[in-house]
Amino acid sequence: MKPLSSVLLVCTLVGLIFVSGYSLIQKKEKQVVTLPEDGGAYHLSIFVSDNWRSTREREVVALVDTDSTLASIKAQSHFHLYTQSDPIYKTRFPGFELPCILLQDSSGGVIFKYSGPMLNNRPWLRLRPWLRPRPNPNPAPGPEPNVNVDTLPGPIQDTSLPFPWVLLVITILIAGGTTFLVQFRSR
Amino acid sequence: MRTKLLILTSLLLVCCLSIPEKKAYLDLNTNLRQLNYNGGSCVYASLCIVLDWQHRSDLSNRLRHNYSGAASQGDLIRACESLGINYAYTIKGDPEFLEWCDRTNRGAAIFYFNNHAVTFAGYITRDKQKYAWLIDNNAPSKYIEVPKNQFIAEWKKYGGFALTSVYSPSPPKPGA
Repeated sequence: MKPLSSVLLVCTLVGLIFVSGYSLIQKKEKQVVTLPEDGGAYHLSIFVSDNWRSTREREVVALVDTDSTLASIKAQSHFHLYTQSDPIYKTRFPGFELPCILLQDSSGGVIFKYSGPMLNNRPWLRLRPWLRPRPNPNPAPGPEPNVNVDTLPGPIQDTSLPFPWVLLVITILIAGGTTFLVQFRSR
Repeated sequence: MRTKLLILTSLLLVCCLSIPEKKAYLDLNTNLRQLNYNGGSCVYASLCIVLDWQHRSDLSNRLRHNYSGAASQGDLIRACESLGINYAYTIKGDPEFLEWCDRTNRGAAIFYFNNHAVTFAGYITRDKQKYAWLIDNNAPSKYIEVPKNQFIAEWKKYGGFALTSVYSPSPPKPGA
């Protein structure tokens, strides 16, 4: 009876070590970060001249935060600020009158484009309801409430962990060896 | 009259169905695509293209100025950490990671070909078949087109490493 209880005790201890080891590995491996599903998000772009900070264009840039309609669109979109000398502006959007506000859907379709003096009248306020951007089911990659934007996203890891067969074999070997030793000693 | 209307409607329907789906991919202008530099920095050059596409030329410049030469996946990850780049990667050849890069139009630096790295620009569908489009930093002006299944198998064979920065991708060209 005594050897059997010893075996059970050893097996339990080894089992505990196995379970705690496995859970530790799982904890280490599960550094999964939810990546933004923003493939369908709109693109809100503002194009300004290089010295926009010292001109009235800065008011246009500020509009995306102060104007409620634009701020709402910005929150749902990829936001871009391009200056005149920016290579992306020069190669993708040449010839735009500055300053300019452009809203596109994810495939490049222009929802609205307003530039120059037109911006003074805030024409986006007169957009027909059916032309206004619809709330996007896949919002832009904004900082999520529970995510610290100052920290780097952790590496992507596979959630499907392989079963630790090696650990299991070691556990069985230890348990078997201990049983054998205990039985051998008791005889 | 009714027959003509029926034929016209059918024609319109056929036309609508045959219009290819609009699809965005990493189409950074050819003169902005980073060439391989310092005699062999393909890993870093691949990520430079991705960073420039995501309008982070500041980070791209810092990467290019501070890092060069042959690099492993660990070297690239360390560079990202050091420069404070927001990044995500797979080292296990997870095709879902590339699907996400394609879906969100971010692109990725991947290990492909022997001892080489290229930029994954996305998947495109042509003639009902899916292809991966790759930008080789040794000849970045054109895309390399590989059937998707073949690409996935080969990518896994070359180690299955892909890394991308996580910033907003460039907007599509208006009316693209």
